[in-house]
Amino acid sequence: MTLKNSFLASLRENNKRRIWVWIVSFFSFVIVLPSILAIVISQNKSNLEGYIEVYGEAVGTRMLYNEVTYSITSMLCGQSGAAWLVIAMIAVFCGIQGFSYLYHKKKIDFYNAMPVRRKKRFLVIWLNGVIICVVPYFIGVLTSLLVVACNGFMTADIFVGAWQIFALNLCFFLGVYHLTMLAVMLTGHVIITYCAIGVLFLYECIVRLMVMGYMDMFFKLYSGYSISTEPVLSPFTMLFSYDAINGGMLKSACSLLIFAGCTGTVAYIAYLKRPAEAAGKAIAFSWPKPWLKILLTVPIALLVGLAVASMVNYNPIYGTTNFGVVLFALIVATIFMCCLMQVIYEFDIKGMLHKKSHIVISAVAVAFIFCIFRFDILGYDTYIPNPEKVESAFVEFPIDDYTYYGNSYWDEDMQYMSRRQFADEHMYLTDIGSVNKLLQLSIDAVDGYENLDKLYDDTERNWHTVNVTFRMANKREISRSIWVDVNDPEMAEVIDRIESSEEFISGAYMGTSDELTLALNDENRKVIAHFGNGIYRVDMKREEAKELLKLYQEDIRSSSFFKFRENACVGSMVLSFEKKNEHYTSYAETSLQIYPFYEKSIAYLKEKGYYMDGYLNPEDIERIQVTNYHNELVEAANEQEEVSEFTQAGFEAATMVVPKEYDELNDFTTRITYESEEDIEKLCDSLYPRDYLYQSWHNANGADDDYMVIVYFKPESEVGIDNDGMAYYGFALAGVPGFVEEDTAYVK
Amino acid sequence: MIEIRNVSKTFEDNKAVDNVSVSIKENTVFGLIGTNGAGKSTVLRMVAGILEPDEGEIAIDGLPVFDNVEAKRKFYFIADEPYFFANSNPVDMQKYLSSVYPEFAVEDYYNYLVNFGLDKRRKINTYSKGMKKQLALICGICSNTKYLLGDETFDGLDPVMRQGIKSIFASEMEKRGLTPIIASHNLRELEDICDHVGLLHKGGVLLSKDLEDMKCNIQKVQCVFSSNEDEEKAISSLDIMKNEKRGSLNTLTVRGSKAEILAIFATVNTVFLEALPLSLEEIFISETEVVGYDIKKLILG
Repeated sequence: MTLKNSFLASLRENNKRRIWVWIVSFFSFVIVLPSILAIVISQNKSNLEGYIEVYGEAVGTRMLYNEVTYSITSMLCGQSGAAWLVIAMIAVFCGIQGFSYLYHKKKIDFYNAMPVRRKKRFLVIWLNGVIICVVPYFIGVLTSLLVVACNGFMTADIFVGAWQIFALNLCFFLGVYHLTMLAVMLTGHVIITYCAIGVLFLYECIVRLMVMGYMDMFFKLYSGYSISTEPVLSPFTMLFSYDAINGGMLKSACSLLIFAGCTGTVAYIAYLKRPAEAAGKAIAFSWPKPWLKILLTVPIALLVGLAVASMVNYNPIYGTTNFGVVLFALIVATIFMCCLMQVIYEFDIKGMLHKKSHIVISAVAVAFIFCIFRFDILGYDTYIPNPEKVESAFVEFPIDDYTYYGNSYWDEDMQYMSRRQFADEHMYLTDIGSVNKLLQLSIDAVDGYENLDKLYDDTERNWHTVNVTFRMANKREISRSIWVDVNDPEMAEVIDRIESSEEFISGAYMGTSDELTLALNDENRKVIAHFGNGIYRVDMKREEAKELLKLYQEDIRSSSFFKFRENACVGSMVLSFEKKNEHYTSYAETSLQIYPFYEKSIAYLKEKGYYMDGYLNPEDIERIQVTNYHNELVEAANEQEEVSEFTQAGFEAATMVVPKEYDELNDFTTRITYESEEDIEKLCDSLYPRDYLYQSWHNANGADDDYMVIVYFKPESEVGIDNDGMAYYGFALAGVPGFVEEDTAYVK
Repeated sequence: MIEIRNVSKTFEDNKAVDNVSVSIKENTVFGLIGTNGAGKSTVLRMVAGILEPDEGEIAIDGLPVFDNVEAKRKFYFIADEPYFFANSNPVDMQKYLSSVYPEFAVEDYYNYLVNFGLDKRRKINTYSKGMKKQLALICGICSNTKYLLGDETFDGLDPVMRQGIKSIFASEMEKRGLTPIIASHNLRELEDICDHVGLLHKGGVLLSKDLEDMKCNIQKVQCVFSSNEDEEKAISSLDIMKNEKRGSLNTLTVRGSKAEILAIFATVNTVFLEALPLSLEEIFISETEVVGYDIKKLILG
């Protein structure tokens, strides 16, 4: 029976001409997906015997079950890059193939002369595209679930998860499908359509990269924290915003649907407005051609300029200039892009110089944008927010952290986060006046230097970069990376004001967080706690760690920048956690520094017998070797050599003879070993573990780098056994005992 | 009736059709002729609702044609290069056309295929150009629409096939009042089939008349006048479109009826006088020459 002029008949007729897309979709979803799943399950099951042999039947079977369900969940219910790639590919194929008749005059003549309304034709082609993806994908998921069930691994979580991801992926399909359709409607040739798809997907990225690159190149206080290179208007970003652990699937699906709705509507309007004569042309509509050309030329030319600037080391804020080359690159890129676009528009290389006015407009726009960044016309580097418009702020002071690799911060699921992310979530400073004051002092200080290279070279100052982020009332976030000299009294006073605030303490130290308290109180998490100073270490019980944490939380409320500066850390409580999840194990560690003014904590440690005076016990020490490199003599000798080398005679002499080894030339090293109990006892009062001596935010002076101290422990001592018999120590700057200076003095 | 009123169409900077107005009556064969680039195909594509006019209106039986299904059901358009689905055969085409043209004559379609010697199971992309043209014509005829729009319809058909198609046209016109509208620059093809001719030149309509009226209103006369005075008198009295003189033999293309022209010649003395029939091609050349499209200029530069 022939279905005459019905919608279903139109669908069927349209489908006859889309067979190869059907084959790709069917093969990917119905054949490949269940087959790979079956192979993975089969491979995992083959490990069963091995597991049983090693772990016994009960544990081995359980391990296998966990392993297989993890693989199934990853493939069917999780974020699968391969699935997204296939879905995106099918969406692009469906979008292009379905409307490909628009590229050919012959086909347009045929279809447009048929008594079929354009709306209906659009709907038929669109719906068929959706069916081509949905039906095989649905069958594929169903078959995969059957494979899972037949192997006995089906759970409610897997069943529900698979269909949830199915729904999310369909939203993603619609996003990519509609964006592709829009590209088809705006172009008249398949190659240009692929280019347009690239532009639609990447344009926002290009603009963001360009803006970030220029800000980084020209702004002294640039911070990229509140700026992302990820395009907001991309189905990929919307899909990736979904996190299998933290959820957000509904939000992700909704944003994809809104995106798909908007792009689909624009594509539909473009379809209705698209003239038949657009077939075979580069761009379907005439009016956007100049705009498209300029909007593509300007960011790409600026991006080329940025790349060339990076290659020739053009960086005015650091005092390096090579502007001529950058200018040349900008001009060439502008002209090239305009010519290329015109050639594409006309499909004729001879037309490259047509519409010269577009080259001029693009060049003016490039110059204007370049100048905005180069001369900071918008005042990025001098911006101080109006406190009334700021809700709160957070700062990322590089406070001392002795945790292994510095990964002190993590969330309730023990996922690591940066200090900045932690501050972003926990720190809500309301004393905007102080933050603004610090910002203003930094701006003034930086202005005092010709460029940042000069700032770095100023060895009398102790510069640190600090990220400051303002949360504005309009929900925007504004970040600056400011330069702070902790030795500057005015800056130090402001820092002290900020650091002693309750809001800062809550957002800067992991030890004050609810996450740490929760982890320590959670009996499902294994914890290893110890107190020590890097060399000496005593293990603590969980209950003891809980009590010390409470006292630490009370003590730290009385801390301030000046107190930290005036006191060296006496030791740290290190907490290491382990949590077994369904399919994986999480690990986290944090270190809580104890300072002499933490009275309650120290009293508790003393009560428990864990506290030790100083950093070394003289009874454990066999000998101490002190090496003095006499760096000032080495530098002086080097400077003298440089002067002589640059004289003509010196140059000739240097080229005539083979130079001596560096050490042989300028070695002023002296070394002494102390073995007497008296000397060792005197030295112990002045020695610090090397980790505690690095120059830092709170430790302004750092170590005296002239000296290296190796402490050799008695072989029978516990600390000696733990540290392979030795440990590195050092002297604080201006803290070297007089007798050591005398003993290690250099004599010719 | 198809009414084209003040229609214009511009492609980028090219004005392809400029203020064209033509009426096409039912149950006639309308020939749309014109110079190369005159806008024949553009007019026909606008009539078929493929292109949207920039200005003016096109109505088929009173219905605006652009994106109007009711209007489009009244015609079938055959492009100069007809399109068939990739890898399809005539059966596939029939199925599709049956789904969009409610009156599609399936039985006639297969009869025509047999009569024209076209294999219904053979892939159309293996057909010759002429066979594809035949198939397109069969599709158009069997769609049972009132109007059949053909762009260079007879181009590529052999004389026998052309004659066959013309017979089918005649039969369909008689049977159900088919109105073929055929655009072509091959005037000889149209001469023996068209009732009405629209002549396009540089995007505008030069004339639109019944072919017989056109032929009756332009005459070609060869004569030798007895004296120069007779020649001057006759030429001043006639509406001459073209005058070629070789020796004493004048070949005149003259506007007016045969009787009127012969009456004027009766007032002067001629040694030799003969009125010759004018072909459509000669009418086309004469009319376009008047507006500056001179074939000699094209050849001699």
